Amino acid sequence: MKRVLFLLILSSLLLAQKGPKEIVEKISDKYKTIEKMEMKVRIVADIPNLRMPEKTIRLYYKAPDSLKMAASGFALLPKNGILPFMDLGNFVGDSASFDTIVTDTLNGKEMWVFTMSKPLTGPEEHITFWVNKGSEIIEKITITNNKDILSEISFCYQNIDGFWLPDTTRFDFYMNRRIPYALAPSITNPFGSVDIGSKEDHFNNRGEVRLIFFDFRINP
Amino acid sequence: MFKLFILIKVELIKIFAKPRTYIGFITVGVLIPLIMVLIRWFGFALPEYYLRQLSQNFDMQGSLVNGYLVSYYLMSILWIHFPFFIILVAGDSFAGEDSHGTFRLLLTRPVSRIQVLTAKYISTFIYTATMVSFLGVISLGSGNLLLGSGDLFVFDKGILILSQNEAVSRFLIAYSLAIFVQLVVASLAILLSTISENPVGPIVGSYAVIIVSIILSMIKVDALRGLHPYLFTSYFDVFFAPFADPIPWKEIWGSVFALFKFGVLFFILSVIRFVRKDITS
Repeated sequence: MKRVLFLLILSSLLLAQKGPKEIVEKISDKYKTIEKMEMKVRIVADIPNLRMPEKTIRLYYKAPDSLKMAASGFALLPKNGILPFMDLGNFVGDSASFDTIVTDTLNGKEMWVFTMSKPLTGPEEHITFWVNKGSEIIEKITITNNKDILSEISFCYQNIDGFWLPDTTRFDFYMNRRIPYALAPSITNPFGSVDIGSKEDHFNNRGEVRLIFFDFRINP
Repeated sequence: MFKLFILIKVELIKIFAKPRTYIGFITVGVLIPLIMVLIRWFGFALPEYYLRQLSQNFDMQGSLVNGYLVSYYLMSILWIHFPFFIILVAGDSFAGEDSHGTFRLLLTRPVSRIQVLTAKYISTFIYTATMVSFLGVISLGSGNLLLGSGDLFVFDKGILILSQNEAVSRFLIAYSLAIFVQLVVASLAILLSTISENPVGPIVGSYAVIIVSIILSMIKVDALRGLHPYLFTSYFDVFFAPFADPIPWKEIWGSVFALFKFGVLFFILSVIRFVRKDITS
């Protein structure tokens, strides 16, 4: 009897437990009605040995995964994590498999945490999602190899027309090599001097880029 | 004062009547647009090389290879190559009169020698300012026309990207400082021109002084370090200073003041030499 009761409880618990793919699909479903979207993004970069002005660009999203940028001059835009719901589609293909879901807390909030075991850009890189249990939105994405966190994307959201869309996205990243420390041309170095550093230099090789979103237009 | 204006006008007519005056204009007018065309055809991989560390994580929108970047790089010719065009004209100012035997005729007019010297100085300065401005206009103009405009990529304790508006104002300051640097070059050439009776001497001499001074300024030997403040070429790099953030005004004014002192020194020596000069031709 005890064994039957235990199996019943276990099976009901397993049924109640959401799998990563279900969570991912649920999040994607929430944004399915967004066919087109325009927004402005202010890009603030804090990268060692690189100073650039704040730049405001216009982004154009078209479902399912087209994102175009219009900017005057030069702008840097992270390859991943601009629109988290769009990234899910990119990251999670049919061949993707996930590690078992675990529960964790992030900033006092309960999260589902699951890691994609499918390599992304290299054989040792993995992507981990932190999904808010209550609001079912992605709060953080990390891309790691076996040693280090290669990049970490943290999201703050704003509610626009019933959709949780990014308000501020912080993109922390790691560079294999730092940006060269270059000095301006001078009489002693007519074309400037450059210290590119060695591969073993592990200082100044982490940077941060913040994206501040505003002026959304959904399905204009 | 009116006489001085007449003298300046006459000197300007003399300068712009000589074919050698146009060597610099023609060279800059042909070479700079040609460089821009070559870069348009074959590219300029410099920013990509320095920012390649970011390509793993970022998409880069817009090119940093534009008219401003190439103009910034072309400012490097202002060290050694560009002074030649200034010396070519300034070195001829007095020695040319000597070699053509026109000094005696000029000095029979009711003008003082200092007025003649001042007029030659001012007219050479006008040529110098015109030449540097021409370089700026051709460089920025053809660059923007052929390569487009945009943010400016420069080196300043790493990589510094200046917005387009900032870039324009920085170039204005930089070219103003470049004019000032070249005025000192012109002053040196005029000084040597007052000494020589043949224009070849001051042209070669001034250029030799600049090259030797630049070599001494460039060599990083402790023994020579004490000499650097006394070499006017040590301050030649002032026109690159505006491309920093923030603009190092203190350093700029320090260099400008040092160059001013050299300019005044060359002027005073020219006055002493020319006033005492025995005109035999």
